[in-house]
Amino acid sequence: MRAGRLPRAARPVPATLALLLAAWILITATAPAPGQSRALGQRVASGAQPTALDQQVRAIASRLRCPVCQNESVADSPSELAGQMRALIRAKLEEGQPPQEIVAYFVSRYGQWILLDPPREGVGWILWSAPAVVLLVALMAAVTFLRRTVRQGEAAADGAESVTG
Amino acid sequence: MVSILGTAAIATALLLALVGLAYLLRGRARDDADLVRRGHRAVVALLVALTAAVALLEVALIGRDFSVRYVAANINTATPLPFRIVGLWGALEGSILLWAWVQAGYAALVAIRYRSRHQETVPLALAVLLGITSFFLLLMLGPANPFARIFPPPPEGRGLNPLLQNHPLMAVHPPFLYLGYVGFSVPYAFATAALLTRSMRDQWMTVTRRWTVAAWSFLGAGIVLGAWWSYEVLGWGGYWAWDPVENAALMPWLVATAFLHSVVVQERRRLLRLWNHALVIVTFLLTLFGTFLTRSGILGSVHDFTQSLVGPIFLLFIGAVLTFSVGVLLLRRDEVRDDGTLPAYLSRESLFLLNNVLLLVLAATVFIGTTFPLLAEAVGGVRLSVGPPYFNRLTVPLALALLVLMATATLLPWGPVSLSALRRLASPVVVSLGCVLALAGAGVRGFTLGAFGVIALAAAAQIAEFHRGARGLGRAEGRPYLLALPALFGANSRRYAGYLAHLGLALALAGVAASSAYRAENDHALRRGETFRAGRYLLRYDGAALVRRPDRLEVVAAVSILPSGALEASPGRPAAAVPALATLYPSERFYPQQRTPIPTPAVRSTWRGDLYLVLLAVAPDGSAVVKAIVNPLVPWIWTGGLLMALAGVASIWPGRRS
Repeated sequence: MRAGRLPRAARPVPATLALLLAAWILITATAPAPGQSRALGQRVASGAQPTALDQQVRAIASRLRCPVCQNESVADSPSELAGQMRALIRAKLEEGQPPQEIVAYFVSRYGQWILLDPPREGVGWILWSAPAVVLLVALMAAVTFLRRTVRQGEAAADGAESVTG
Repeated sequence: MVSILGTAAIATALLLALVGLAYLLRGRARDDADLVRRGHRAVVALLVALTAAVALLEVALIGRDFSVRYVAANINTATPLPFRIVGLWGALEGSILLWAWVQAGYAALVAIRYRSRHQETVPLALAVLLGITSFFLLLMLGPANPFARIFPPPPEGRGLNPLLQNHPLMAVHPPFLYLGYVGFSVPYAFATAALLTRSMRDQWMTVTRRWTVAAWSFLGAGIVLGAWWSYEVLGWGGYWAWDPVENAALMPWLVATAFLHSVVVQERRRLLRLWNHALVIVTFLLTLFGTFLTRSGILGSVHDFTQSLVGPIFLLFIGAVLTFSVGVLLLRRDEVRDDGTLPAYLSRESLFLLNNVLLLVLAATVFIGTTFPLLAEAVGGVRLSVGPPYFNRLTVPLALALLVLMATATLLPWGPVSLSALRRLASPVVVSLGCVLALAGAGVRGFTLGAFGVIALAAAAQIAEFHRGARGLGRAEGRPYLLALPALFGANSRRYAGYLAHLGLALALAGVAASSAYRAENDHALRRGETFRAGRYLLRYDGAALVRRPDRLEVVAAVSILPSGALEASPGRPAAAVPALATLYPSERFYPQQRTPIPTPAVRSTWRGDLYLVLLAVAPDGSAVVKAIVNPLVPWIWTGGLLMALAGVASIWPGRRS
């Protein structure tokens, strides 16, 4: 073994890395949605002014699609309907309804289409698991590629050594 | 008159494209330099014809010639001159013309630049470019004619979508996108020609490197400018909504970024030949797909898109390019066989491979999320939405993994990873931990804290490499450190421009992380003269006024920024008497062609972040509702993004080799 090359024990590293990453993706994809979605530039921080109720309203509203806009969430849309929906969410929260029930209410009125994060059921499963599958396949391909090329590298290096040595 | 001349110009262009194609192919087949030269001339003439077409459409737009349907649909008598000019890329037909024009421009540049070089490949590469141009020209002679007439001409046009007429960024964002999109056709053409002619096995990438980097920079700048436009115009305080239109530009950029990295492995190791060909093909296909997504009307509804022939024709063309490209690869599969080797499993090269895996999975995730609702509706009749919650959940972990990889691979030398090289990681890790501790002290917690740690690690690694390089160069040439730093770009522009781009990415992502986690927003109902607080700002609403403009009505509110301690400092003084530090003017704009008003935000930027004000309503008594958003580090996003594009330009700037 020449200096610079890691010992053989280091070899399963890509495979381990692959598994770890895939596990990570699977976990993030299947974990239950946290109370607040992390939409880019959308969450309200626990600053001085916005109250906990404001935050809850925003968290629910950012999961719902504004029905009359082009690809805007209820939380961000300036439209009148979105304003009414936010008011409705607030009223329902004040009545003590749990967020899931409020979301379910909007789904029953507008259909699954209203949800910006589609449910992990039925065809939704394909959507949520497809990236993890792609990641696994890509990592496996990369590992196969490494196996092939690095083994050749060793053969060439050994050959070179036997010639010079 | 303009209609006839314009259509004639496009028809002439198509004729020139076909004649040029014939000259180039026959000239190559017969090895006749004279024919090839004529082909080159046809390419330049094609550019002239299309320039004439663009000029004619601009004449019609500027002169408000409503007998041209495109003009009547996108301009009205009140549209100001700058936006009449910009109307060229305001809708489908004009943007197809812009695409064809840019495409012809690139082809002409190739023809001129390689007049007497690479005689094997250039004719075929030009032929490929002419083939692509012909498609867009046919599209314009068929269902997307920008010069189609309308009779009788309406007395008044419909006017541009007011959102597009609301900000000067609209003038620069689409051309940058198109320069980027179309630019990728050049490496695609050379890759295809290199395979077909069995020449330039590993050189096509080197030859087209400048084109690829230029296209990548244009596209990146286009994406950032688009996000900026969305932030400055749409009034929601965000910049990226994972809208299909945004995703359409992001996907080719991600794949092209993968290509820029894997190219280096091919150059060094004669590996990944097939892979790099595939990446170039996929990038090019994604640019076509992006145009299809944004311009076919398919996003409005799956069922809308068959109303015009443009969508189906585009799909056919994408299918044809895919078939052709795969066919060429299969035909020449012996050309793309690798004959190089890698020295070890853990090497900088294998980290580049992992970079490609992550970038491709990112692109695939965006692709899946963007197309899934379309497929679900077309195939299963199910209406679904895929929005920010989905994309953020899946892409953020991948992006963080990519940053860790970026830090590591930057610091390691080529070849096998050795323990001594791993020691270079030490100081960036220490810096990153220091950042984490400082931020934790400032109250940052949880996931956001981890994200900042990773971003700091990635940034510190780039800075460490600049430092190491400058110290080394300083010692070797006896230069002072501060002079050696810029000299690095002269010594190895490609490498250090790469690190600069990495640094830009880290900056931009820091802005994304901060504004996602710590944006604070509140609606304030205000009487005239009333003060309110938004984050660290003390603000005073000074009233609203109606302003009449040629193309719109505006309700403008004045909101003054006061010194934050002003009220406490002299409790007796009325707030109205406090002199303002600055005044912001958020407004609502009423356009005749749109029912609802468009809120136009007012933004005050400092390096720490933005104060973003949106006027939501004004009552007859002058009281108003103002949304105030304090958005930390947002300017870092624009700075970082444009730094990436500039880094691209720096790496291809001619005449600095030493």
